Amino acid sequence: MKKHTTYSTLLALVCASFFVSPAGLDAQQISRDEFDSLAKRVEQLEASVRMVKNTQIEGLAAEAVSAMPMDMADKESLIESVVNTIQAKEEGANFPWMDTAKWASLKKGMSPEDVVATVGIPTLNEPSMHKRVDFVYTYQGRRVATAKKVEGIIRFYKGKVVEVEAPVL
Amino acid sequence: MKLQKQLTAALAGAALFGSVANAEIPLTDELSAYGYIDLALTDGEGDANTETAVAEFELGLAFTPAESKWSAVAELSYDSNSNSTTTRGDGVDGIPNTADDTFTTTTTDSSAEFETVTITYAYSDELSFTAGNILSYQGFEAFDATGLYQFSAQGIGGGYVYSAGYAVGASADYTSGDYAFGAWVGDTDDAKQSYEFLAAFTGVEGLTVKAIYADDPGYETVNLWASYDIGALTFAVEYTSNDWEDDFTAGEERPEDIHMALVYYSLGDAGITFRYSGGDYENDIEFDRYTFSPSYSFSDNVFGLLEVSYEEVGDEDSTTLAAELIYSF
Repeated sequence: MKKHTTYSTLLALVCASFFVSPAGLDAQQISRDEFDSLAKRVEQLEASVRMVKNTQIEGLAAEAVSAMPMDMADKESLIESVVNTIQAKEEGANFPWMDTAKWASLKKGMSPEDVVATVGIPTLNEPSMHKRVDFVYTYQGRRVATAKKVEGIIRFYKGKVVEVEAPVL
Repeated sequence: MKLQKQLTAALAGAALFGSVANAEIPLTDELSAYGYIDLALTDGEGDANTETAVAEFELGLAFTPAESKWSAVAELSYDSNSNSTTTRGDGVDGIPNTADDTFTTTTTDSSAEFETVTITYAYSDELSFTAGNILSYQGFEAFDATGLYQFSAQGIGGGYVYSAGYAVGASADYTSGDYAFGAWVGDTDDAKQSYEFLAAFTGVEGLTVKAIYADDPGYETVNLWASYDIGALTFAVEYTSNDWEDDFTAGEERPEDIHMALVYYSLGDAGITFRYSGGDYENDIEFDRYTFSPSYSFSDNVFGLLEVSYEEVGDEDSTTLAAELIYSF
């Protein structure tokens, strides 16, 4: 637990160094190399946060289960179940469309309103150059557990769904 | 008249292209950017010239606050005045198409102009009010290259036949189920106003019918068109009548009457367009234009086409080739 607190403190300090003093950032210009370096650093930090978060979840679950009178196999199974539940809840909150059942219920002929009611607001809403497609809803995001990028696409013509490319979840 | 001038200016620069919403790149929750790049190559028969151009680069910004009835759009078009023309000379031997032929490239000036620049108030889901630089209601053929089934428009030389393009004014638009109605009013150079009215019907699956009437101190226009999708086919017919106030060369006032029929056949990502257009143009000039255009959608963002157009204007005939590649974002 102490290790996780240390990680969190370090991350908070690094993040604070970016955001606490916007006036200071405005006052000096940065070069393209510096910007690229910062972007790379942010990417690394995001990966670290993801790893720490997953480790924390697993650690908390392991700590809670360790006191229970169970054999090792049952404990591992329970931990995995708890972790999956927490990750699913986080995914459901951030990416409600990452649900195979929702995509399976989409049908050709549905209106944009029906689609939004089923899988939520799209990440992108883009008109298409295809003559038989007026606009395209794109749903993009990363799975919480694996960080795998997933994408779902729904195409509309004359106000109706004509094509669905469900995300591989 | 102002509408006409706007159109003339737009056609002089872009010849074919205008403004339609495109892809969206969310910049913030309330602001998104969109646009496209249009590359074109045209080759006129017999003139030994090949014209290549970045026909248009358009960038639009859309302000659409989620909880507000107000929204705004601003589009900047950098158009085809940035043309380069390559002319093939006969060289020292004076014989065309030999090894010593010379090539001369000239580049003309470029320009940037506003297209749709509007502020809209949505009174309800059905009724909205818009003010600003607004595109005319007229036309089956879109003002933007992204909305066309082929490269050229239906008029002589591939020009538009509509009497209006972009103009500053205000409009009220009402949409209810199968019907839509619109009215636009704008200022003109004299004390009179310019008006446009639209009625549209979409009550039959695949069918769109529109009727537009424009009354301006400089012209009076009736524009009627219908399109119908059935299976892989799209059929469209259009009639445009322009009654200009100004006389033409012989001092005879004569309305333009132009007809157009189009068939588009979709083969998945590929498509083929056949179009006929013709009629009386300006002062008793009769023309017929036949267009064949295969096209291909490489993705939702990238579209390419080829076009062959054969045209008869009075006793003259000509063939024009074109290739176009559009990237939208």
